[in-house]
Parts: sequence; C-alpha cells; structure tokens
Amino acid sequence: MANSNLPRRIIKETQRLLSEPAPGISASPSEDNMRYFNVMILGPTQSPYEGGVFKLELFLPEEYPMAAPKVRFLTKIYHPNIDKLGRICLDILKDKWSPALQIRTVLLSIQALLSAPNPDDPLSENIAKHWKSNEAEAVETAKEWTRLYASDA
Amino acid sequence: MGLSNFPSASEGVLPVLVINTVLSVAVLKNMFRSMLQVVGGSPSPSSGANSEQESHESSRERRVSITQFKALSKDIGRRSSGSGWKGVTMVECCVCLCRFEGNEEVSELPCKHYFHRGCLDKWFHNKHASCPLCRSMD
Repeated sequence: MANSNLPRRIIKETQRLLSEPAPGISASPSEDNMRYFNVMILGPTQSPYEGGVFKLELFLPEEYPMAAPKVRFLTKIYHPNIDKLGRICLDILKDKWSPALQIRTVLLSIQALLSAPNPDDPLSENIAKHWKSNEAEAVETAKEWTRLYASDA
Repeated sequence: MGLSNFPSASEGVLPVLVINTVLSVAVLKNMFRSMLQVVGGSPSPSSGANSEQESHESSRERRVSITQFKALSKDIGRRSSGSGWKGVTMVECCVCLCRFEGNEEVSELPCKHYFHRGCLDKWFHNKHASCPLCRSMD
C-alpha cells in the first residue's frame, strides 16, 4: 500500500503543513496516497499573477527527502520559467536540492518565483523572449492568463 | 603563438630549480619521517600507518566528526562560553525532523552543522558531498 510505511518525516511535515500553513499556500495530501499533495498558491501581490489561484500537484518520490519532490503547475500560467506542461525550472527542484528543504520551503520558493520571473534561465523560450523584448506587454499577457485561467470560477 | 614557442635556455632554468627543490624537500621529508620512526620506537610506525590510511579515505569522510549527542551538546556549551562563538543547539535533525536523543550518534561537519549519523550517511551515499544546511563542501 502507498500509505503503509510512510516515513516519519513525511508524517511530521504533513502535520505541520496542515497546522501552520504558510501564507498564501495550501497543501493537503490525497486520501489514497499520502505522498501526493494537492497544492494551491495564491498569486503574490504586485505580480502579474495577483488575484489568481494556482493549482499544483506535488509528489514525494520514494527517495524523498534524499531526492526533491516532483512539482507541476496544473493551472495554465504565462511565466518564463514554467512551460506549457506546468513543469517548473527551479534549481532547488534539481541539482540544488537538499534534504534540509521541505515541502513548505519548496512551495515558498515557487511563490517567490512568481514574484520574480527569471527570463535569463527560461523553460519557455517564447515566453522568455517576449519577456526580454517587451516586458510590459508580457506582463499584460500574464495578467490576462491569470484572469482567464486562474480566477476562481 | 604561445604553443609554438619553446622555452629558451634561460626560461628553462626556473622549472628545473622548482623540480629540484620539490624533490629535495620530498627526500628530506622521508628522511625526517624515518628518523622519527627510529627515535619514537615501536608505537610510531603503527600510528604512521594509521594516519596514512586515514589520508586515503575520501575528504568527505575525514571532515565528519562523530560523537554522541550528549557529548556534542556539552561541547557546544563549552565553545559558546568562550570568546565570541555563538553556539546554537539544534534540537532536531533537519533531515528526519526527529529530536536528537542523548545517546544517539551525530555527525558534525566543519561548518558546525550536525545531523543524525545515519541521516547524513544517507545523503552522502546519494553521491552528494555538501552540507544539507549551508551547502559548504569543506
């Protein structure tokens, strides 16, 4: 079973996430698989994503915490470091992972990435190009996508 | 260009001097070491062999000091009472999020961060060499 032999670290992290959630972030484990989390991140204020509610999925692989969680946006988002499949270009999810990081710190980093897009290390070439050639227009598109896809229906 | 220029005779003197110095230092070191072994008698050859063995271990293993948590926390108390070193006793291991118990073995890195021995070993066995907390590679 997926939920038997769940490491104590995962149980502790889950308890703390539920009892002291980070501002603008919610993460709750799925009932049938405690390694799978449904995540919601509010678009940070003063970013093009303000007012949006972004859904993500987070999965803790067998090797966690020796390997990073797998995280993906489910909500469509216009961001140079997130591709159309929702995959995220973030160093701590790859080579900069450390077992001292947690679900909470990963989600806070993703929230920070929404406030500070980095078109110099892009995952979506076209969006990054747009961002670098005409930032004002790219920000407008991001706002438009937030209204279209990330507003609560 | 640089590659096609062979060093002239005058330029060649310096490397030769350097090599000679290195070689003679090495010879002197060996002589000194064997003298020490003779003077020190029987215990020193074995301790010499030990240090040799340690130096063959990976640097990662050498920089870890393993103690029981109760000894380490006492030591941290002592260090922090000294000049300026601000000792912070971590109560839980950031890898497993469990408290350190007095008789548990903890591994301390040169950056003064420490973890359960088993937790740090797992990270290192995963082909990593950095401190989980500050990423220092010392």
